[in-house]
Amino acid sequence: MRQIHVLLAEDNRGDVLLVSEALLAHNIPHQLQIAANGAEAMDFVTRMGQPGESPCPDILLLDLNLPRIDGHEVLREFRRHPACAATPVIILSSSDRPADRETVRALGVTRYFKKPTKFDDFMKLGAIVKEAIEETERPA
Amino acid sequence: MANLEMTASRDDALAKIRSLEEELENARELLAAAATQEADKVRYFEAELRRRSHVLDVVLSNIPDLICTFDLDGNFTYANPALLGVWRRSLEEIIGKNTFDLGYPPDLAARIQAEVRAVIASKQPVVNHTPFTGANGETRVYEYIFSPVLAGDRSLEEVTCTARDITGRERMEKALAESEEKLQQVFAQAPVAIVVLRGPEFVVEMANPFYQALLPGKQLVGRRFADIVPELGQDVWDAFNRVLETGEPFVANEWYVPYGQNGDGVIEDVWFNVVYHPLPDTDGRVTGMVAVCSDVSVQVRARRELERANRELEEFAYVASHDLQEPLRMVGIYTEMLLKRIAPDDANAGIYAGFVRRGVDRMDQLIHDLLAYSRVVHTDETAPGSADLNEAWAEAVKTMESRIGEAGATLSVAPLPVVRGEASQFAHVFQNLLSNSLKYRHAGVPPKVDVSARRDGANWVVSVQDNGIGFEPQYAERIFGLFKRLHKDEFSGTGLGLAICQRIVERYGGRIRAEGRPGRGSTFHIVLPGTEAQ
Repeated sequence: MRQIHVLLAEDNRGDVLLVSEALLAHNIPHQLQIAANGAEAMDFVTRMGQPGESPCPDILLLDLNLPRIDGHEVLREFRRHPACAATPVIILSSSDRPADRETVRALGVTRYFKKPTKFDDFMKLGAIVKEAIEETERPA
Repeated sequence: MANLEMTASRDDALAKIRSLEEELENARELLAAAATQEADKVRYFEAELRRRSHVLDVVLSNIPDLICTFDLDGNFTYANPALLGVWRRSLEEIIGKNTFDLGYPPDLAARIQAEVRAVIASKQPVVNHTPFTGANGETRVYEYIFSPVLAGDRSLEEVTCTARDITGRERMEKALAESEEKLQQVFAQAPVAIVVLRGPEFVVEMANPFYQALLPGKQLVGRRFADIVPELGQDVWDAFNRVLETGEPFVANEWYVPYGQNGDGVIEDVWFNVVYHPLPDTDGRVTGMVAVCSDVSVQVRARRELERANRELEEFAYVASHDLQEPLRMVGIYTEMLLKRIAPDDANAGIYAGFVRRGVDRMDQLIHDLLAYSRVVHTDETAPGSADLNEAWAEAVKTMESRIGEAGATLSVAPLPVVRGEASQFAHVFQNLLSNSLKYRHAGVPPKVDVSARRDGANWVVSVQDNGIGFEPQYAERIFGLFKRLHKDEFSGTGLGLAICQRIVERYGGRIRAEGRPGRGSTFHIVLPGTEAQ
């Protein structure tokens, strides 16, 4: 598997570590770009793909409940970028409100991952990322 | 010549005498005829008089009214049989007597004498009424009129009196007056605002003090309603007109009727419970209405405030429990990591981590249930559909399958109704009840759970009965409280299960209650409003 470029927007450092653990556990070669709040994420999204800036990621892992700028706004901005219209997005969330799922479904969210309370369950995120990447790269 | 002349004049004289005699005879004849005629007339009038007198006698004898006549000294000259009957006296006994002589109560006797004198003096009738006790001891009320009898020269001959028994009429009038007074009292003292409106212009006919209090300082009676409160919305006028047109009452609860309550031009938010009742005329045509209104603004505002506070509280519970879950998740997962990575072979670390894990699990369960409890209100904001309780029960059984198997429980279920609500929510209720039945069982006795339903008027009563350890009847209400646990030392649980059940059932207009005896099992009765289809 080629190295994939992952953008992770997550303010909980404990979860950041668990995400990278999950990617490692599934042997996914990756480069992890971390945005610790909504503003950082927004900053990254508005500049990505430009000369001298980071390229567009292969996948976005997004916690909707971000400080400073809401995850929904980040997602909208991300989708506006021409190169990211079809990029897989996985929502990381500790909430399980059906209303949340509905609002992000409209923005082309690929997966919805409710942060588990057990370590082993969290590691399953690696498999989900792998699946989402493979799905996107599969020739239509 | 002279002889001749004499002869001639004698003849003339004789002729004259003869003719005079003839005239006299004629006159005599005429006179005789006239006398005969006159005698006929007198006979005729006499007969007529007798006849009329007889008719009068019959009339006076049979008339139920009491009739008598007085001479100018106030003594009786006549009384008809009806009056004689009241007195139990004969005509002879009373002629020439006055009211004192007949033993009338002194003040009444004096009054009558005075009234007779007044008629004599004024030659005008006098009308009055009095109670009078007859010889049979019965007291009745009479209305009477004294009238002067005037001769051709307008001189006074006699005074007549006609009296009529008005006891029934008086009673009716009195009852009517009393009932009207009562009505007036109710109208004036009723703790609701009442106004009577008349005609297509809705002119205020009456308004009680409570109504006046709605429009302090404003003149109401006699004015068009539109002139009193021109700011009223069209919906009010529509309701007024509908009552007049259809003759049907109009009822509205917590109706928003903003108007300027203080006459300072400021329109205030006011809510009323109103009943507009049509008022038919004597011919049955609806020409007005009684409007009964109570200002429920305070209640409406209080309820809205309560609803808002409840919503906030629920939102708070949701957010709080959600935010509680986050750090707990970190504790749980990183404890696992510590164990895996740092001390995989340290036995003590395993034991410690086990305690942390159990604490986390218990806290997680509590938060989970608390979330579920607050979510009962957070979700399903739309009007509920119909829920087939058979499906709900099947879903609960499916969810609990492994625990039912482990406990070796026997379940029996009768056909259940379809009710208003969400099947998934009722599945949650059944799951909680089933979970309790499996949990609170006698050691060594396989649990038995029976579900049945019966009709109770418009409601359904669904009962879930088990053979478990039951509870003291005095706890029947307390067990539905948040975090209430009767057996917390022996059984695990969060104390939220029944609170959630109650919340769900009440959400769909139902009630849940528990019945139990220690050692003899528990029964939970869920009362739910039936759907119209049944």
